[in-house]
This record gives sequence, structure tokens and C-alpha cells, in this order.
Amino acid sequence: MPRKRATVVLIGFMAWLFATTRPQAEEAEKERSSADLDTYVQIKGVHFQEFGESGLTVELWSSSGKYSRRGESLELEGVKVLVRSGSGQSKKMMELRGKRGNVQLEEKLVTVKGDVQVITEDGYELQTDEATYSYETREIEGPGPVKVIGPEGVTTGVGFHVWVEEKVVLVHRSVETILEPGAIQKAKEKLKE
Amino acid sequence: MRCSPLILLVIFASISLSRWAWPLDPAQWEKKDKELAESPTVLTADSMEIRLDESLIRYKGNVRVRQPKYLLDAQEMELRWDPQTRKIKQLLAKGKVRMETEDATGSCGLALVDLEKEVIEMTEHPKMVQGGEHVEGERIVYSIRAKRSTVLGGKERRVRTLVVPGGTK
Repeated sequence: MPRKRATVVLIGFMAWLFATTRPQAEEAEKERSSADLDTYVQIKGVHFQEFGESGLTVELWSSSGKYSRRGESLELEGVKVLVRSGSGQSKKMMELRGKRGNVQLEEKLVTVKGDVQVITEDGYELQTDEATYSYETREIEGPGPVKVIGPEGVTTGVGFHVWVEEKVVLVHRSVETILEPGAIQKAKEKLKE
Repeated sequence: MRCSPLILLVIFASISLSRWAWPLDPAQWEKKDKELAESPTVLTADSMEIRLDESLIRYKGNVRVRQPKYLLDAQEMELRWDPQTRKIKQLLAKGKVRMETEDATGSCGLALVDLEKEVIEMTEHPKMVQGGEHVEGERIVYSIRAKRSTVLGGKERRVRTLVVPGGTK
């Protein structure tokens, strides 16, 4: 008799356990399947701004974009990034332009590819194929061949680094500068465009 | 078939005449000088750093300045421009500076090149060889345009000239 009672209790416990754990498993299954699916948002005419503790950290424009929720990223076409250096009255602007762009929101990185231009207010223009702007460290970097058009003339080299706050541009390797009087005018005209 | 010596002479003469350059008259010299002055200056280096706030460009590693009138090698080169006019006036070459012009060669530790005046001012143990004369001093100022050097001595380094007999003037 006590053996029969024990069996009934055991069956009852098993039924209770099944009833309580099944909804949890179903929920976990649902969550897993929703995580596999991504949500994309197609946007036309993008104006993106991100604010931090110190205010506006990044501002960009693009003709079209695609936002991925899973990747926390934004794919852009025809992108223009406004890079601010300094503060108050001494605030200066730089522009980063390119055919395509990608914003990694977690890493705070904007990667621009295709006919990339970095234009400074001082009349400098950097031309390259790929550049990455970290709006956290406020640095622009490019690994490939670069052309710098500035007051001194036209410089070619490989690899560059721009420290936006310090207003320093470094060309890493194989530098060649041709000092030409016409270079200043060319850079100024480009900035007006 | 043998070529006659006359035919060979005619061929030789025609080749020689085609290479013959008549001396330039003063107007042509002036034009040539202007062309040379307007021809671009080429700077090559391992790396380049632009400091926008300081209106300064710093070239580092195996720096070479090439201009039809002169050649300059150094370890480091600084180039400054006027922020108002945006014109580059001076180049400052630092470390193992070697200079070569049409008629002179020189070496020093520091050289200041005035691009407008076309003058090279050499300090830090400057030495120069020009027209068979070896000169040393505290400071050597060389005018590329006039092809003339001025050697200045100081308390520590007196002017020293070594004339090599048979040297070309």
C-alpha cells in the first residue's frame, strides 16, 4: 500500500515538473528563433547624430541607409561625416566623404570606402580608398595609398593617421611631395564644392 | 661592301652637329633660369607629419630635396608656411645634411634653405667644396642664384680655406 502511494506521488511530481518547465523551454525556444532573425530598416535620406556626455559626438548625412538591429550597424550610400575638433570659438570642422559607409554603433566607428576624401578647414584634402573614423578617440586612419593636397603642394604616400583634436596628419610610408604654387588654390576650390 | 671614309665622315659629322648646342644669348639664359626657378621641388622621405596648428610639416627618414639647381639630403626636414599668405618660405634640414649644386658640394649638421631668395645657410660644422677650394667655418651662406658662398667664422671656429692646386675655378 505505501509503495502504491509512493508511485502516485512520484507520478504527480513528474506531472508538476513537466507542467512548470515546458512553458520556460518554449519561451527559450521562441527567444532563440527571434535572435536568429534580424530586423532591417531601409532609410532614404539619412541624417544621423549621436550624443555623448560632452554633447554631439558624431553627425553624418547619407543619401540612403540600412539599419541592422542584430549587428548594431548602419550601412550607408553616399556618406558625409562632419568631424569637429576643438571646442568653443576655436572649434574647427573636417569632413569625411565617400561612396559607401558603415557605422558600427557599439564600437563607435565609421568606415568609409570608395573615393574617400578628408577635407580640413585649413585647405588640406586627403584622397584615399578607405578610411575609418573613431568618434570615441577622434582619430581617422587609412591603410592604403593616400594623396594629400595642401599648401605645400601634392604629397603621395602609403597609410595615414589623423589626430583630429591635435590637428596632426601623419603619412606613414613612401612619402613624395611636389612643391607647386598652384596646389593651394586647388585645395581651396575643392573645399568650396 | 666597304664604306668609303668620306661617307663615314659625313655620318659622323651629321651625328655630331645634331648634338651641337649653340651658346645661349642673355635673353635665353634668363628664360632658362626662370624655367628652372619655376620647376617643382620634389621632397621624398620615409614619413611625413603635418602639424596644422603650428603651420609645420616634418619629414623624417632618408629625406631628399630635388630641384634642378640643387640636391639636399638629410635625416629630418622641417617646412614652415606663413598662415596668412599660405606660402612656404623656408626648409630646415637637420642631421647629416649633404648638399650638391651645379658647382659646389657641402655638408653640415643644420641647413636653412630660403626658397624665395635661393640661399642655403649652413651651420653646425659646415664644410664646402667649391671650385677646388675646401672651406670651413662657423657658418656658410651659399647663394644658388649667384653661385657664391660666404664663409663666416666665430670665436670657436675660425674660417679655414684649403686651396687645392689645379682645382677648377
